[in-house]
Amino acid sequence: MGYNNEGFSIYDLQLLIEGLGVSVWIFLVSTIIGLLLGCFIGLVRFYRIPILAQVLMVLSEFLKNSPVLVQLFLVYFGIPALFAIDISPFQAAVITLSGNTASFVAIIVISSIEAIDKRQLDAARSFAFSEVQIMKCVIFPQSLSLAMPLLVSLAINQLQVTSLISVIGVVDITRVGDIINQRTFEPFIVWPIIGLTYFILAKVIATVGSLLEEKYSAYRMVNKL
Amino acid sequence: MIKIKALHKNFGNLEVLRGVNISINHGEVVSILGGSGSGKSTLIRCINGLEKVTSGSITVDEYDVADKKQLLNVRKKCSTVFQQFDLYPHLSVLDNITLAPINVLGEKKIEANKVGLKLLESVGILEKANNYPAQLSGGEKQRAGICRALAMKPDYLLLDEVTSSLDPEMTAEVLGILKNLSGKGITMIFVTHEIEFAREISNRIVFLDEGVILKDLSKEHFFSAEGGCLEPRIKKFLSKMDKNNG
Amino acid sequence: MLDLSAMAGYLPEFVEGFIITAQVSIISIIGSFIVGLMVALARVSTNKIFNFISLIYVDLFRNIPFIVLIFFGYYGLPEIGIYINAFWTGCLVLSIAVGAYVGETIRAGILGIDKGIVEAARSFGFSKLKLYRKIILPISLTVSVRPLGSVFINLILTTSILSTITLNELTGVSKVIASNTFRPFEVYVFLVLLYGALTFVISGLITLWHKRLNRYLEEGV
Repeated sequence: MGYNNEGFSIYDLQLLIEGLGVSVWIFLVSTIIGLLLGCFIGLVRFYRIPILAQVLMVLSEFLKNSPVLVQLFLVYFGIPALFAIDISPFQAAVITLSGNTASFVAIIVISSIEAIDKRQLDAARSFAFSEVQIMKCVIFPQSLSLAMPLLVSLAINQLQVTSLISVIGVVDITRVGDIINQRTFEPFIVWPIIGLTYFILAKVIATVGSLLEEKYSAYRMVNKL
Repeated sequence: MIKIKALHKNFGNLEVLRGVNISINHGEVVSILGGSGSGKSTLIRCINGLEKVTSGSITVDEYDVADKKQLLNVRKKCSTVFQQFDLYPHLSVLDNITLAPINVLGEKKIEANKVGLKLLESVGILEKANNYPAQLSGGEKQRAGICRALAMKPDYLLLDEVTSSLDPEMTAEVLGILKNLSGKGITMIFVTHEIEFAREISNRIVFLDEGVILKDLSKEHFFSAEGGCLEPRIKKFLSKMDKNNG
Repeated sequence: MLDLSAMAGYLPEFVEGFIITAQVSIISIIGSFIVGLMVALARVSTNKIFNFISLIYVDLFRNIPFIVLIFFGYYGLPEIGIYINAFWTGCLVLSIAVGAYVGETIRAGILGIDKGIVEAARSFGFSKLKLYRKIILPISLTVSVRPLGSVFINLILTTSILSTITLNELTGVSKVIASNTFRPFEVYVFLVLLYGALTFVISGLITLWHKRLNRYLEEGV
């Protein structure tokens, strides 16, 4: 190639590592909040708590069925304008990604609870378990096992979604790529490196995920008669 | 004592139980016979509160099944064995048995395990203690189901068609175990198709037909020459069962 | 507080943006379907090289964020002498990226086909090409209508990212309108509702279509 690489410096590597840190951090924070919030929405909908269940359903349907980028703009530009409050790019990113993750987690929670044979729950009731104990001892362990593969692919997907926060100015891996690309004009070096970074992160999540899947699905993997 | 008074149960417009009155004393072994749709399984599910009664009352000793708080006490006294076993698939056989004793009765894990293993030994599947339900045959699952019920040290054992999902060989296994239990002072209420077994094990036979009790007699009386089995509908039922078994 | 009147004057711009979104979506759906079909066939083929390449393709494009791909395409293509505008860059990159998802979906449909049907067809002397054209693809595409539908709905939502390479599709024009009217909340809420309504209608139509095509699976025994 006719270009030289003088545009690159050691600080670019530092920048990349910092960006990686930001991406991973936002991914972790929004995934954890999203999981908790999603479980809450899922349970509210599973137990059909009136009004709240319907409101949360409509809300999460719109979160699932609109672009995350638009949701980010709504939170980052829209909410401060309407309510006259300050929201940092980081806060907007966490709020949006958590909400988006939660709306998908809720679906996984509901479907993996509903996949459990209801007769077992009757059996547990007949042994004087409380509903809370049934949730804890009977439903949760099995739902977790059913949900795990879905949660892992959701996590891999949500990692990619984090890249959108670069658009509202969070200096994540993608934003770092953009910065370096603008300066060096070396898209064929910069973007493959950024892409590969995401790829490796995705593989890390997949590996951790398959370990978790194995751990929670031992009972389904046994040799059946 | 289990006391059932004027029990009605509707599913929508369908009247499944239409005024059942019965009391069952301590130590009795009662077989509830009846064709499919006679309401016999529903009766059991009303006793342990899995179905809400439409009207009438059920009390188990001093506890009222209709009262939410007392229902838990009822359920501690009555253990159920289910037709489809309904073991918890994610737990080993031993954990299936000890889950309720530990979480509901507050037993220590070591103690509960000891009792569980003893029960498994008594039904001949000790070696399956650490297997998952999916690895057991139907007969073994039902034996585990019986252990799970007995681990609660119930005063009453409710048995809902416990052999209907089993082939004849496994049926014999399970019935053998239940027969051993019958002499030990535990009150047992069978819902069953197995006439021969009812004749062998129970001391009282209740015949349910279209949601009402047609006959409620001692076993001897029921099967005697002038007994309940002369009632045309019961006669028909019995001959049909004989054909099925033959 | 909510004031929609400021937005009303921008209706023509919204419509223009909507048309661009629709155009990009339709072109990319067709493009990604063609790419996906090739990927699926390569994935199930007995040729080891095709297998390997298609596997890598799917793995890469499903694990790299679209925005990284679109930046690579937008800044990279001119470097290798391909000068196309944002619109066509978007269509190209969407087709390539979503093609990986389409490929996996069609592949799942192919793998789900009853082996007996394939063997029966073989026994009648179908050539491999005919077997695929007349039996395997029609069946697998029929059962894949709904899953493919979700992939394409995702594609439509993904077109919003093209606003980052200056394409004035629905999200792009909304950004402009939001900053012109100083009413970002109203504009973006409207946009969320619009996308939501759009995907709701499309997914309803897809479900109907899927049911219609697959009705023989439920009827008769």
